[in-house]
Amino acid sequence: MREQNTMQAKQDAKVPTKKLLFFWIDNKLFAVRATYIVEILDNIEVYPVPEPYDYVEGLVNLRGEIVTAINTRKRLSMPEKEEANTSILLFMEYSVNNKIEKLAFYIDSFLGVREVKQKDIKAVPDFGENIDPDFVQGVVKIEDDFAKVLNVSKLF
Amino acid sequence: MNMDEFKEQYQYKFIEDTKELMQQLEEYLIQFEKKPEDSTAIEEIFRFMHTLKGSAGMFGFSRIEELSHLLESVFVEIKNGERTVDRSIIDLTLNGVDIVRNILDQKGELSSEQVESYNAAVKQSKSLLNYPEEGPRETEVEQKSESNEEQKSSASRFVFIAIHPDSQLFNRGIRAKNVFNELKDLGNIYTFLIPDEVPGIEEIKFDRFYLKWEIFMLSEEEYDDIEEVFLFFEEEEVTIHDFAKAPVSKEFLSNNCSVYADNETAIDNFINGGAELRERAEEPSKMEETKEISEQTVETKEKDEEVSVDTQTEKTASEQKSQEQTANGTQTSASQKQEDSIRVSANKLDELVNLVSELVTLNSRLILHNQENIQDETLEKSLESLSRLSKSFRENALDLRMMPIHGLTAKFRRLLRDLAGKMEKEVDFIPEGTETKLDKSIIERIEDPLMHVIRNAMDHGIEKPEERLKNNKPRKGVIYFYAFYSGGNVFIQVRDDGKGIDTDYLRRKGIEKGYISEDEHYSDKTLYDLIFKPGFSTALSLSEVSGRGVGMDVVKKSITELRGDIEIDSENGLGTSITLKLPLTLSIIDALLVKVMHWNFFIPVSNIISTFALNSSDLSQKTEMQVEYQNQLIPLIDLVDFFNIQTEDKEPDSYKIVVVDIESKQYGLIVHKIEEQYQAVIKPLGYLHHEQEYLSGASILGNGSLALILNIKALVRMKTSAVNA
Repeated sequence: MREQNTMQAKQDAKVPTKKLLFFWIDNKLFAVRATYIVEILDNIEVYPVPEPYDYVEGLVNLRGEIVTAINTRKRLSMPEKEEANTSILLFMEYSVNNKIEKLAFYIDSFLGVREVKQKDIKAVPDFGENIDPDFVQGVVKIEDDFAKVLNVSKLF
Repeated sequence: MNMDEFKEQYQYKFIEDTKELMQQLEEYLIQFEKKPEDSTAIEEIFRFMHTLKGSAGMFGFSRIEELSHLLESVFVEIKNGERTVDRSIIDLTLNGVDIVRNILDQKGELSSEQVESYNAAVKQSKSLLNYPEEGPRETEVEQKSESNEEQKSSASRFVFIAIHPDSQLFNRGIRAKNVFNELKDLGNIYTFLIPDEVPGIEEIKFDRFYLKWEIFMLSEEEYDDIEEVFLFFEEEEVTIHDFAKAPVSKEFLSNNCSVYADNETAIDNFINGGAELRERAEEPSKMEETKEISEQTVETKEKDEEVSVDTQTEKTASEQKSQEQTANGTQTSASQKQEDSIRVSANKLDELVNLVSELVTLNSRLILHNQENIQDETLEKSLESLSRLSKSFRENALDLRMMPIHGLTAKFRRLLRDLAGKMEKEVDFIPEGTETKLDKSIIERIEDPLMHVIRNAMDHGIEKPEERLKNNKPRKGVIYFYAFYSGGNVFIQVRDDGKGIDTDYLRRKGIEKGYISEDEHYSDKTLYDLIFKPGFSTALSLSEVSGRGVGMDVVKKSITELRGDIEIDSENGLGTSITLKLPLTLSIIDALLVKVMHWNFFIPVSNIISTFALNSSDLSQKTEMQVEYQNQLIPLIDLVDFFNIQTEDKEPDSYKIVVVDIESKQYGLIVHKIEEQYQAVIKPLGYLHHEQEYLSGASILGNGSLALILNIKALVRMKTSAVNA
């Protein structure tokens, strides 16, 4: 038994983990790989821009850099909410056509960064929920809730 | 930093360095072809090949290593006067330069076609060197030693070498293994590794070098040849002691050689072997005596003559060089190279420019705040000097991104050389103003368009020698390249003395394509502009060289994207000139800040002719959306309408009309308020906005809000095409 335990411990040490940032939109928990996060800012003025895509909310000034703000609900094909209490912007960066691009995603609130084991991220069950399944990489259980891990490459 | 990152970082540096090297090599090759007597060029070519061979091996580019080794061997023969230069050698080497570039671009992974051309080049160089297909290196060594026996009165020398490389050896791209291989080629070596500076395993840094060597060497080569092996070492790193000067003594060995005490017998045996060798070669040892006297300067009489000849040619070469310099500035690279400089990544410069722009913005925000709320005079004065300071700071930062366009002209020279051969035409390329500086990103983006323009000049402009002679023109054509500043712009002109553009032909073609009508008279300029129409120039020029589906319309598009302009002028029979007008930098634009509702827009000053006010009542009557301006009706563009701006803001009582000029046509932009003229820092909008063209970016204002920079030309084009449809 003891031997088994140490073996288990050994295995655990080798198990790959991922740092994820958890956040809520419409009381639904989401997660993204923390490596893509640049920063999280509140109350930034968004400057509207003539419609390139319907989910583009406008442009924001991130210390001199111009970043496009994304309406995350629209991006994920979630139902619009009239009284959506969204003011927090999650800035992420990702390589698009060999260039690092930044985007800012609206979220309602965030839980923080947690480390989860790779194997605890399970395949996506059939949600039957109002979210485009293309964007979801998997689900992970955290603090008695299930979080959908978003596929950042799809978000960009 | 882990090993992979480390390797990647240095590999990147190697690739960048080598590309630069290739460009210089190219220049020297072309220079050398013109003046084969120029010994500086051959020395440089040789040095480049040698450097390339060494560093390519170190970074795992074995193909580059092999090819440069072969080419180096060819140039060794040229250098030694065993081979004369002809076009095929220069062709082969230039082709090699292209192959090296391909390999670098693709980090060693070549397409099958490229592998083929690589193999062909290797084969060609081998046959040039009379290598059999198999095992080139061994044969080379054999040949070498044979020829040595023939040429040199073989004097064996005994040398002690102490190598104590700097700990940064790896970073300098030197592979120690090569040193030993080269030494082995020169004679027998007996090597001792001295590990006394190697730290404990925990303290070892993998990018540091800790080893030292002491080497005993018996060689029949010249002292200089041995010294040359250490070409890339610093003087203090290598001590070479030639025992030809003094007999080997135990005192010397125990004083200078740290391994002697432990290996006395072994070394003695080795030395005695050398003594035997020396005895065998009796005669040369007499020569050695004379050599000892003037060892440092001249080796043998034979060599002496060679040296003096060398200096003579060098002198004439440098004379020619200075003449050439005054004539056409070909040599500017050499002088520019000597400028003291450090290499900085472009990203860091971008970041600096960004930060400085932020500073300028914050500065104007403070000034605004003081004017509106505090109104403190002392503060105002300090802020004003701060503003001056930050503005010159910004100019300085922008200047860092500026590069002379010399690098481009070097490429064009090469292009023309290749084309001349292919098209059986003769041409001189005369660049002027190559020290003119432009933003690095602009230089990168005008390369392809200019290549095309120059190719056109050669293909359609310059005639074949016979035809030129028939028309009383010098046999050799000339393509001039001028670059100069004027106003806030850089102008680049490519002019040839070829046959010019036949306007009658353009007219016929234009009518045929439906761009112009048969009955009207058109100015020459209008006809020349037809060349920029899509599908026009490609139809004109389906020759092998310029007609590959890329037309002048693409050239024009790339230049317009840079906020530049392109113009053609020509004189039938005498030549054509193509002039590019480019902004100095992409990051700043002179623009007028206007407001439409609560939106801020920048309109580039270069597009604006004038502004005037218009009552809203006047505007509402204009159903046709036209307004009278200087006795003619010009179309109006409503930005609210264009951008589909939806807002509850009330329409203002009066409007301002900004009159802009696009291709000699005027349009009126309806705006609500005209603020002031700015030097706006252009920021990219990000990839989501790439598909639209009417915004060239955005800028951040003093109060922190954003303003969108309009691309008036694209906006007008969109508007008019919408109307037509």
